[in-house]
Amino acid sequence: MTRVTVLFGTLGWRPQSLIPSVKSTEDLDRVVFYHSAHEKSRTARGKVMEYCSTLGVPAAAVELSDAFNLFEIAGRIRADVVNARKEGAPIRFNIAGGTRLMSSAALLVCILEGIPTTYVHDDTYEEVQLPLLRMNYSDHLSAKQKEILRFLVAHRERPPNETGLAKALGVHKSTMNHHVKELVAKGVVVVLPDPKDSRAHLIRAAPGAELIVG
Amino acid sequence: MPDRVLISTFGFDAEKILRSLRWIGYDRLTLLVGGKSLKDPGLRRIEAAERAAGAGLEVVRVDPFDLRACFEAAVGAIRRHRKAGHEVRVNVSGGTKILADAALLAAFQEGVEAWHCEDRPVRLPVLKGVTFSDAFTATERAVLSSLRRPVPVSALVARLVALGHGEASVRSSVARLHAQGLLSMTIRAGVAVAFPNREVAWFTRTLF
Repeated sequence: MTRVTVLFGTLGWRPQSLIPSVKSTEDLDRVVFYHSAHEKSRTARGKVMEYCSTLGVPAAAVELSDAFNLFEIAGRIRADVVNARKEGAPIRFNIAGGTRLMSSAALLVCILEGIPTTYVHDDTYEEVQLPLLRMNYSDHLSAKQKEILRFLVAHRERPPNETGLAKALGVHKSTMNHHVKELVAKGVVVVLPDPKDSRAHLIRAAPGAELIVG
Repeated sequence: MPDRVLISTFGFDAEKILRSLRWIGYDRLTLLVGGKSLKDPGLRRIEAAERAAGAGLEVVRVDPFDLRACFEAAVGAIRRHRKAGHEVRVNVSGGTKILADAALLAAFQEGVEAWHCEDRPVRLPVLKGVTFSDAFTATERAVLSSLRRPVPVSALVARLVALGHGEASVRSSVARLHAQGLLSMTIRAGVAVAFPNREVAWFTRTLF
C-alpha cells in the first residue's frame, strides 16, 4: 500500500517558496501551511490554494495571529505535526517561507520531531534537503529530571522554590538541589531571586522548555 | 573564567543586534555577515562600539543565501572558539532566514546556547552539551565514517565485522541511516550498494 505524504510549510509573501515542494512531493495527500495576517501573505495564500486546487490536492491554510511569537508558533506547529503523525502519514516540511521566526519555529519542531526538512532557494527555486535527524532530548534527561521539568512547565506562572519543589515531588532537598543544578547546567531551568524573600530563590522552566518535555 | 563568545547572525539590522548585545552577556563578538550587509553602516557602528570596549570584532563572511555554507561557517566558528576554551552562545536574531536557520541548526549540532531577540531576548530550547552526534550508536558512526564511496553492503558489513561490530548491528545501522536519509542505497547487478547521500554530505561531515 502506498503511504501518502503530508506536506507542511511556512509561507511568506512568495508562493514560489512553497510551490516547488508541492510539485516535488511524491504521493502527496495534503498540504498544511502557516502564514501571517499580512495582506501580502494572504495574497500568497490564495495563490497556493489555487495551485493546490488545480492539482486536486487538499490544502489547509493556518493564519497565525502573531507571526513573531516563536514559541506560540512552534507549539501550534508541533501539535499539528503530532496529530498528522498519529494518522501514520509520512511528513515533509518546507521551512523556506514566512517570517524568520516562523521559519525558526518550524525548524525547531522538525529537529525535535525528526521531520525531513527542505528549503527552497530564493532565486533558483532549488530545493535543499536537510537531513532527517531527531534531537530526542528526553534521552538526555533522567526520569526524575523530566518529572521536575514537566512540573515546572505546568507551574510556570507560580514557580516554586527548591524546598517547595522537593516537597511537591516527594524528593529529599539535597537530591532536588542536585537535579536542579543539572537542569540549570543543561539550560532548561533558571534560578531566580524570590521577590518576596531576599534569601530564597525560585526555580522556573526556561522559555521553550514545553518543547523539550513534548 | 572562560571568555563568553557570542556568535551572532547579522543582516541590515544593527538595532536588533545591538538590542541583543545589551541583553545577552558576552566578552567577545563574532558576526556572521554576508552579501551587501558587509557594507552596512550598522556593521561599522557595532565595530566601533566593540573597539571602544577594547574587545574587537570578528567578522566571518558568508553567502547568506547558501544554507550549507552558512551552516559550515557557523559550525566552524563555534568549534574554533570552543577549542580555544571559550564558552559559546549563538544569537540568531539577524540576517536572512537562511543564515539564521543555519546558525540555529549549528547550535543544535554543537549543543550550545541559542538565542533569538525580537523585542526581548528568548533563549531557544537547545540542551547544552547535547549534540546530534550523541544520537548515533558506535556502529552507526562506524558506518558513516567508513562510507566514502559506493560500496556493496556485504563488503561494508564484512569490513565492520572485522573491526569488531556485530553483523546484525551493522545491517540495522545501515537500514536506519538509510531511513534517515544519511546514506543512499541502490541495486547494481543484483547487489545492494550503499553510498553517501551527497545532498546531505555538507551536514554529515560535521557530525564526527
